[in-house]
Amino acid sequence: MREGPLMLLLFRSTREVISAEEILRAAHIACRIIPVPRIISSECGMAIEIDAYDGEAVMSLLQHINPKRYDNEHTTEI
Amino acid sequence: MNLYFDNAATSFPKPPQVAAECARYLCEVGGPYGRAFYPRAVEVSRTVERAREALARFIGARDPQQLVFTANATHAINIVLKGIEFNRVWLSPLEHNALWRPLFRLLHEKGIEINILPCESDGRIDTQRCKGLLVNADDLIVINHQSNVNGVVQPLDELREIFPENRILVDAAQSAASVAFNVDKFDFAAFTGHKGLLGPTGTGALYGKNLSEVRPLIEGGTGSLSHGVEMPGFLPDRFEAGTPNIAGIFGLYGALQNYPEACHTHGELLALIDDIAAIGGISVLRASRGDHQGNLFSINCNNADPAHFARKLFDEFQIETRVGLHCAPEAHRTLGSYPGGSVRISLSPYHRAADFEYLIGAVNKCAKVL
Repeated sequence: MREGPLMLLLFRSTREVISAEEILRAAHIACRIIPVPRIISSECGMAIEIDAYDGEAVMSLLQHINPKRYDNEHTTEI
Repeated sequence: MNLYFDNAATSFPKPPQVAAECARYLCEVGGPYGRAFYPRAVEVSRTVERAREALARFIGARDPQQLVFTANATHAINIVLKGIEFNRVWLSPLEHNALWRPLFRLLHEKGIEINILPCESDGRIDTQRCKGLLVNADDLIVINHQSNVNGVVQPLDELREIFPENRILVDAAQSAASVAFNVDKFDFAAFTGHKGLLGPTGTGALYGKNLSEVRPLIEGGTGSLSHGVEMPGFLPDRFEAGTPNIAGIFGLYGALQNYPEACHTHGELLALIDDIAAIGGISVLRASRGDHQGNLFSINCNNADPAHFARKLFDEFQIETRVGLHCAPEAHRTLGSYPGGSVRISLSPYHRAADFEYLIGAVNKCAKVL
């Protein structure tokens, strides 16, 4: 990951997270699975963190999954 | 020599990677499916999802998203029968108790009507006579794709054409991996991992259209929408409450990735049945036509108790078979072998011509003394 603003992607299910991670890795886009910050959800599962710089490309690749996007402060849905 | 002929109950042997993958999960990978973020949990979740995709590919399903893991085919069938509304059901005549028992409960609790589709002497559905039936568009149709008693394969495509509007549930417990069908043409299909798919026990799947409209049979934690008390509407979570059989799913993935080429042909199977049928005193429960025959059949010997016959095959020849009604009393009623049942011979891809020769010799010797 670069040093810079990050973006958080939130998914409905584990399957969606894993599918998204595979797509991003195949596209050589840096990503990291992290726990879902409490401030945006009481979810007990996984979220994906990416460079905000890659946001548009990522959303295009994940159009069929359509995750929710949050800014690097993990507070604001984009 | 492979003397295990009870693969319709549980297949054996498995590809060696099945045990290796189960052990890899239990000894090395560990961790939960979903529910956490650390690499161990991600690796488990990734493998479970790869297994889902591999199984969808293996059964020819278009959309892995519509495939949910279950404990076995019985579990998958119960999800459908208890999760949708219907007042009347039409069954193939060779159904297993996996269907009959939940339907019997629904008969008593909800007053559903149960009808049997017309069939030929071997239990294969007579599609010509089906055309004259008064079937309502909202009736459910349930078809055991391959009988677990005589191996008859049902004409799924013709039935789909005759009943284009009806919901059809296919029980593919016995046919998976050996008789292909277009799973996307049907509303629901139930699979088990531990028979023809060569996976571990406790694995199975339900594939279907519109599964999000089916009520879940089991409710509980899914690692998603945790703030809510209702089950998620999306798949696969809607039907996967509780931690799944992760070790089993790892093993099933190992089986699907390393599925063996069959060591015998369909022609050799038919020749085996013909050779056994030619033995004096032996009667065979089989399909009337070779192209309707799946990879199992049943036999009886003179008027001997099938249990005595099966015991003799084991005690003197170490041949392992399944004896009795095979949890399918209605199938045996249809075939005229109720209540005695039969001795079932069910094959695996690992059986070779030499195993068949040994089996024929053993049956021949038993027939002379029983």
